[in-house]
Formats: sequence, structure tokens, C-alpha cells
Amino acid sequence: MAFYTPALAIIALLNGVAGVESLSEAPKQLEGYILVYFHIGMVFLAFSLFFVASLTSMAYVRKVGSLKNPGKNTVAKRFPSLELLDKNLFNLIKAGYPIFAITLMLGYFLAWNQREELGANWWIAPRIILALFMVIFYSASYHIRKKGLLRGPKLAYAVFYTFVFLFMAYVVIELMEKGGYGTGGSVS
Amino acid sequence: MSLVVSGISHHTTEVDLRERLAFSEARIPEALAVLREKFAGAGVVILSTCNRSEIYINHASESADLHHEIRQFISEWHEIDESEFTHGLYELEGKEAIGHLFRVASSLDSLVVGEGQILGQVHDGYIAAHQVQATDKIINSFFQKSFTVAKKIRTNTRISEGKVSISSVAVDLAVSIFMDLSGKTVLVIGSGEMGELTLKSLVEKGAENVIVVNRTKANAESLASQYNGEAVALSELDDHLYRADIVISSTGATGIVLDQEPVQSALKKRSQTPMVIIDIAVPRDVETAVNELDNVYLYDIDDLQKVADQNMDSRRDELDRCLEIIDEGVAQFHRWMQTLIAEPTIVSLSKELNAIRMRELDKTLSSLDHLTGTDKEEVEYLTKRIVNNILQKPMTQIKQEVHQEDHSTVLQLVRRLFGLKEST
Repeated sequence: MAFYTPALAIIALLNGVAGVESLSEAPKQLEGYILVYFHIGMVFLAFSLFFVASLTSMAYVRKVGSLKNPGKNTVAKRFPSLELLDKNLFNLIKAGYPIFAITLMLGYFLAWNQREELGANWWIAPRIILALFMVIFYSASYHIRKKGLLRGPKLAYAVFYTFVFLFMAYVVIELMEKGGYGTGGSVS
Repeated sequence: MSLVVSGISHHTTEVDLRERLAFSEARIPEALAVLREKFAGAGVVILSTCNRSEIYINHASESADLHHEIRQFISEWHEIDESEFTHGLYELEGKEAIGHLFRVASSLDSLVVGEGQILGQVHDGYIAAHQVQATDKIINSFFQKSFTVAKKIRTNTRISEGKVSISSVAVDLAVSIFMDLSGKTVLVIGSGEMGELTLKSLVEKGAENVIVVNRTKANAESLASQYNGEAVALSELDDHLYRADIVISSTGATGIVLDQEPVQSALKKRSQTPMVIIDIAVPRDVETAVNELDNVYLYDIDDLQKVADQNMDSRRDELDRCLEIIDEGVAQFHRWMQTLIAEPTIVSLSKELNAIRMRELDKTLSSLDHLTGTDKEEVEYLTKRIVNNILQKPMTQIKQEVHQEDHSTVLQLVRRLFGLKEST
């Protein structure tokens, strides 16, 4: 638990700031929908799990490095066992991807109901494309590992870099103000 | 009163002399009895391990006399001329003797610094002496304090962290990979002594399934039977490799016994679950390219030695912190010993004043017949309180004075002022 304390502190801080901000930025058309709160809450929960998973994957890679070169004195020597890191990593993904998938479907449901207001192209909003990619990636990585097709540092690297890429992509989209759903015209 | 230690250790003598000066466990009570006879009323402990033989004594004699007598005893007991061992004999007294025992018990003086066995040996030595009533108040506190200091060092420093033997380093590495060794399978190739030792350590840590592989199945069977394991011929190795979480290889083969290909196919069969391979053989049994595979962790004898050396270095880095704890312990114990110097004076003073109190109380009460029993008890209680109050400050002051260099003058003055008898 001590190993995860810094990560959990960061999550609490980010969720405290960004979560409230996101709620206030929800499309005006969806105001009053109680499900919006569930949707955003679950998004943040899944993101938190993926964030901790990405930190665990990095710890896993560092641990592998220290175990492959036992003569080197590294911080990773003090990390939990490789098996425990691996178990935690995939338990986090196992918990995270269904939550994200459910909240994505909930989001679709909300958007479909409000498709008139959100515009015809709501479903190709960059934020939604990224979310789809995210669900596919985490679900695939979990099942690939479960089947024993790929396991170990390569998969851990993939988990880490994908999270970094997704996070950066979201930041860019938000900065470019392309995150809104109403990027297309209304349904005619 | 002198607290001394005389002894030899691996630092000062060769093994052949240590062997000659060792006390057999069975004869220690007898040796203690001889020493107690030699030094009447002394507290004595004999500590004898493969790396040291030491005699700790607390006695009223001067330390120089004690050391001389101990030398004679060693010479007579082991039937060895003094000249043969005095070059390696250390003779310490007071603070130096205290610090020495604390270092020994904390394993700072051991061959392998930080090892845990010595504390048990010191404890056994003390218990053996205590059981035959060879210890006294100071020796009891001395050894108890050494255990406290040793435990404090083990808890507050990293002196005992990190293994320093090849087999225990191998086990540590396996534990760094697997959360828990229970349910894990160990496959041993060959029957080298180091391999067996590593297998034993892994089984002690919880590894449950053992497969022993040897050139001939019959040779594998004897080791396998010790661990309820399975014996397999070397020709069948590839068929069983996938079952192993940990592989120990220690054959006498001159060439490679295990190369990359069978390990790769074993990994596929076990769904890429990690595998640890410990190659203790010289020349090496396992192809080095095996370590390039993901999820395989190969360690040869050099890797293990490197980790052991590194752990030993980090133990040495902790020495300063350990010595600080020891110095603190020595100061505390020495201070406590000093306060004992004042004890006879304090006891005499208290006895003297209470004798006066009782004398005067008897006189007074005999002329106050009209007092009830309760009143008489009240008066007696009053006199007790007065005497205790009078004694309180001088006692505290005397206890403080013993830490000054000229404490004997103060104690003599107190004795003279109150007409106390000489201390015994």
C-alpha cells in the first residue's frame, strides 16, 4: 500500500480539481441529467485506475531491469516482487476497462438522446474516438496477457506509453478546444 | 570491582589455535566452577564459538590480577603454555570490555558482519553460566544490556539486511520475482553441493515441488526422495522444463547443458510465466543468451557473488550507525555500574539513620503509654517520613557524585561524617 500512496495522493488531487471542472463543463443540453454525474464519475474512476496501472507498469519495467542486472544497485530493488506488480497491473486494468466500457455506453446513450442538440457528428468527436481506442487497448492488453500470448516488459511498456499518449492527446484536444461533442451540424 | 574479558578470536589467531583454546559445551559448567573457585563471589561467563573463546569476569580484584589469573587458568585448562597463545589474547577491562561484548553480540565483530547466529550463541553462553549460578548482578545486567543493544542495532540499522552467501542470495532473487514460493516448482539439474544447498533454502522458503534431473535417473532419485520430489533423466529435461518456476543447475559438465531453444519453448508452454534460472556450475551450464529472453531471469555464480559483495558493502556502510548505538549503550551501562559504587554507602547511611530512628522511637514511645496503638503507628510513620526526607537529597547527590573523578573522596567523607563502617 505504501508503494501506491504517492499515486493515490496525485489521483485524489487531480480528481478533486479536474472532476469538478468537468462536471461544470458538461454540455448545457445535458444539464439536469443525473446520469451525467455517473458518467463523469466513472470516467474519472477508470482514468484513476489506468493511471495507477501505468505507474505500476513502469515500476514493473524498472524491476525487470534491476533483476536482469542484479549487480546494479537501483531503487527498483526495493519495489514489491515482480509477480505482485504484474498481478496488481492486470487487476487494475481488469477493473478499469469494464468501468470505462460501461461509462462509454452510458455516454452514447446520453448523447443519442440529445443528438438533436449535440449535432450530427457528435460520435466522431476526438474525445470519443480516444475513449473508444482506450477501451479497445486496455481490453485487448488484458485478454492478451490472460491468454499468455504476451506478458512481461513488452506489455508493461505498451501499457505505460499508451497511457502517456492518451493523456497527452486529451491535453492537446482540450487545449485546442476540440473536445466538445457538437463538432458537426444538426441532424436534418 | 573490575569487569574484564580475556579471549581470542578469528581476528587475532589462526584456526588451529582457536581449536585448541575452544571450550567444549559439555565441559563449560566444569570450567565455570573452576573459575568461581578461583575468584570467590565472581560473576563469570564463558563464550566459546568456532570463531572465538572468551571469558567474562566481574570480580572485586584489580583487573591486572584478574587477567593474570585468567591466563593461568586458560593455560592449565587447555594444557597449553602461555607463550603459545598470549600473542593472540586480548585483555580488556571496564568500558572497553563492555564495548567488546556489545560489538560481539551485535555481530560487528563476526567473520560475516551482520550475521544473526552470534546473538544466539552469546545468549546460550550466558544461559549456561546463569543455570549454574555463575553470574552475579553486574554480569546479568551486562549480558541483558548486550542483547538489548544487539536487538536495537538489528531493528534500527540495515546491518543484517541483504544476504551474503551464494545460496541465500539466489533465494532472495527468487523471492524478488515470485510473491510467494509456496506452490512453486524447483527443478535441479545435477547434484552439486551448492545446488543442494540452494534447493534446501528454497524449500525452507516454501517451494513445494521438486524435480531432480541427472544424467542417470537412478542418481537423481536419492536427492529427489529427500524432498518428496520426482527424478528425471537428463535426456528428458526438455519435456519437464516448462513445469519449473526455478531452475538450479550445478552439474560438472564441461559444455552447455541448457540453451535458449528449450527455454523458449518451455516459456510458450507456461504462457510466458516468469522463470528463474540459477546457474551455479563452473564452467556454466546455461547459455548466456537465455537471459535475453523476456520473462527469464538467469543468474550465474558471478552475478550471485556480485550481489553478495554488494550486500556486504552496504552492511559495512551501516557500521558507523551501529557504533553510535554501541557507544550510547556503553555509556549507559557504565553509568549504571558507577552508581553501584555508591550503593554500599547509601545502604549503610540508610541503616544508620534508621537505627537512630528506631532507638529514639522506642525510648519516646515507652514514656508515652497513654497513646493508642493507632497513635503509636502514626508517630512511627512520622519518624520514617522525616528520615526518608532527610536521606533523599544526600542520596541523589551521592549518586551524582560517583560520576565525578574524585568520587571516592566524597564517599569517604560521607562515611566519616556519619561514622559508617567501610564498605564491603
